[in-house]
Amino acid sequence: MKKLILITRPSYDTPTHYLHFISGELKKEIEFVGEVSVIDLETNKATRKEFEKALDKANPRLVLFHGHGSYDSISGQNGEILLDKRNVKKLKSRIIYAVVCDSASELGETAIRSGEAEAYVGYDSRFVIVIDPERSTTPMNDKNFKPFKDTHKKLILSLISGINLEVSVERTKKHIRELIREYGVRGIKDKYGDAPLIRFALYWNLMSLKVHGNGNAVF
Amino acid sequence: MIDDDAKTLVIARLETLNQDSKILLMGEKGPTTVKDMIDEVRKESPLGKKIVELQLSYIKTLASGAIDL
Repeated sequence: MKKLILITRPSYDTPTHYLHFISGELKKEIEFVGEVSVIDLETNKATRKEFEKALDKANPRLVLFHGHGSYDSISGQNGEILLDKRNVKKLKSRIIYAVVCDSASELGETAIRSGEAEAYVGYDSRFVIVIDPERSTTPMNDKNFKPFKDTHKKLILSLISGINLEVSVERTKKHIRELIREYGVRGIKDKYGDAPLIRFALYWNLMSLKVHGNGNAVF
Repeated sequence: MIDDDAKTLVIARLETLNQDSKILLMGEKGPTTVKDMIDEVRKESPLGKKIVELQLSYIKTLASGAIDL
């Protein structure tokens, strides 16, 4: 029986549009390999009702959130709250990676303590992406976006390949440090002079990435 | 309240960047420019305070050699 991943990926403003794209590419890659099945709650399916139904019926081991969030909640399409302390128990025994802002500071702890999730990875501050000023509606062609896309993919593919959470996160952090170096030292094509800002944004995400729960958790 | 020297240093660093460069901050509906980031630091908003905290930490990390320039 194939392992299951649940992905939430709303799309209704520029930040969610970018995350929708990032997670769509990831989904295609996962499906191409074929060893894991994906439950895709995208756009209008990213509702609390569909989210809870998918958790109850399909019982995915890994849940990947993309979109807006806060200290105590994660949103879906048009800002509808998907997860907060009222339904956090539905995360029991699961591994969570939340690519949303702030959630690792409070919700991450609640997910472990009250929800009995096995592990929660997320950001305890804003999640930041630098975009090409001329391509903010076409993430596919946005070169500034690439390092952020790569680091997102790195963590998830590492987890899916069977590497434990702590090592997956450490490898991702190492990759971010390498990118910061790369954007500072090498001759990166930098049409708008954005490399210094990209480095700072990568550093921001590096410092905000936090793990709660069992670091030895394996997908 | 942000220390004045820290605020001046961070604003000076941000002013060296392309003012029209854009970042997406999850939690905001649209893009934020470097110019907006400087305004947040000047206003000492929660976001401005975070920018200062991370910029100072970033400078220290670069200075320590933990990440090469």
